[in-house]
Amino acid sequence: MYILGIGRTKFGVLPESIPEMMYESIYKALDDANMDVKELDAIFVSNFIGDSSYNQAHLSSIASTLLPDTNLPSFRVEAACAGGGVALHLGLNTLHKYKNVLVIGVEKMTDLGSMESLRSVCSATDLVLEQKEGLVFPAAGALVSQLYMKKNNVTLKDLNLVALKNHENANLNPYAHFYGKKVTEEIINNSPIICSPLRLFDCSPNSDGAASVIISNEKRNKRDIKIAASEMATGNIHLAIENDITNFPATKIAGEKAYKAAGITPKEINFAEIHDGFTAMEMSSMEDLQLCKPGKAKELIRNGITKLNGKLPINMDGGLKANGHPIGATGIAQIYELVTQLRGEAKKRQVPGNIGLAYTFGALVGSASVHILRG
Amino acid sequence: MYYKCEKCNKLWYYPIKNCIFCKEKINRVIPKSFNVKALTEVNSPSFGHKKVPYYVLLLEDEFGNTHIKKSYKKYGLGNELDYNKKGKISVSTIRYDPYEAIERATRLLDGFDINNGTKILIRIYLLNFKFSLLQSLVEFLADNNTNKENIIITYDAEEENRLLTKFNIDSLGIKTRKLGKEDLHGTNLIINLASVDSKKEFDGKAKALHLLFSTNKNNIRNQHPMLFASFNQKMLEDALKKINQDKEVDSITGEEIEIIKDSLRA
Repeated sequence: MYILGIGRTKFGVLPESIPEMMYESIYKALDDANMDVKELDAIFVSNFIGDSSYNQAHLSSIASTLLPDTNLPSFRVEAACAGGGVALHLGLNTLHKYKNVLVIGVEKMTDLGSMESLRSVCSATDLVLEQKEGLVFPAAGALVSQLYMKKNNVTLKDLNLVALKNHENANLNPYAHFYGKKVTEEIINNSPIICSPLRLFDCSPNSDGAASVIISNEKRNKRDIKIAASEMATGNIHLAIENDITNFPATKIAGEKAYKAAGITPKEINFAEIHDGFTAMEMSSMEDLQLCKPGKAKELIRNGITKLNGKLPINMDGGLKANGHPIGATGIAQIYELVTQLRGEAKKRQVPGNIGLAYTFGALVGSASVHILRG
Repeated sequence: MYYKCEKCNKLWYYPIKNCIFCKEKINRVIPKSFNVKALTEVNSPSFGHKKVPYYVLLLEDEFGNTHIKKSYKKYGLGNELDYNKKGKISVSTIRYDPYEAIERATRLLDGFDINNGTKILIRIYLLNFKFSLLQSLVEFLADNNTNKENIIITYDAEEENRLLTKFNIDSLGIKTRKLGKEDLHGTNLIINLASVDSKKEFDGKAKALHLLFSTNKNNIRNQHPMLFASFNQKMLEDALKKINQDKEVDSITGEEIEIIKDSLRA
């Protein structure tokens, strides 16, 4: 299985509508793959809040409308923040039937206002047990962060280091939501507390954006990147069901299955895109994915191991924190970054290595997807 | 409005710049006449459309392409829509492409006339500002034979300059500066571009085209954001008050605005 083409929009506060953003990313992906529209055989579209917030569902048909007269089979996928990864996973599982599959992720969020966006995003949690109790998503992230920090002696300064690193990386990524915005520790410390202990800069932003990839069983040229593993696992939607909310079974299972499928050990991963919806989640996920020993993520962060010039760069594009988090598109954007890195086309944020991992989750952690790509 | 690739003969109703099949630049098509090809009277109210009955028309334009339009006026099959009547206020819905709204709002406005020699001053007010509207306005003016050299964009307060930088205003290729008294003289057309809730007091002495836009966040109970245009600020404000006061109307369409405008004239 290979990725033949990638395309994305800038992430951030964009004037474009959902169809316009989708079109731009599809256009670029086809161009990147040097592929004619008529060579596509199926479409998958990841989107989370289009229907709940904008009353715009059926994005599978919008995708088809953007490619007039192709009449391709097209499917919409929703798995909260994991939607992009899950859509790719589903697309890959249809390659026995379809030769070339287009996978799109798209989200429009920034014109909702914060009340509406909080309401929409927490639809990923249980309606009765969590939403009615006021568990907006940053509150869930805050509870996890508190316990994770206590268990592992992680400090607020450690969380700052994660945010600072990801903002530094985003400043090298012209497509990133926070590109061109210098963030300092002083800015972070002076930012408002959203849900204690999480400050604004511990939380990923609401972003608009789209990203697309074209996948196939056939390698067409040397720029095509091999997908060594694509795995997905689920967990409980209700946070309180877990006895330990600092580490998540779904993440561990998806990771273990992916390493097995790729025939590698976690130590062979050269770099990774890890879902940092909240800064502490980047650290706990590194542990769940066995990229470090339990409780040791803080040491990697403190010693700069996860920076671009470190031994294990994490979130080279700025991560959700600073590249942005247009929910349905996030998982596809992670793949975009891995492909760019593995092709050696990442310019100032280029890191060495030929094996990259992408991990994204929906809710905490109801859906988890892990992809391993090899250059 | 729609978008057509002349080479591939493909159509899009979304704003598309280049054809995904042949990569060629795509043309905007602005149809001017519409005939009713099919219609239905809707008697079931729904969110955003509580006032019934209304009609949903399937319109066919002069190029044979079709469009959906809501109307409170009853039409018959084959009727031509009176869609080109000029007035002292014009109103257009802002759909996917703000260019469409600007084209329609100015085309249907009495006294709007521009040419290569027209010196234009665009005054912008940044409360709830929509950069895409300014972008489309500049594009529309350029498409209609005005000279970009003759256009100046001005703002009122120095601190607004920071916001304009954020919007990447330089990408428009138009001179931009803080409004000076000299700017109001020697200008053929002043365009005030503002949100309906900016509550901006315009300078009453200079003749100006007022382009006021609503957004989804405004307190106007319309389904689409809208663009209101008039050279008469008082008349425009009265129309907007009327819309806001009309508690019975849940969804304002261009057609309803026509009715409100008529009542104001009466």
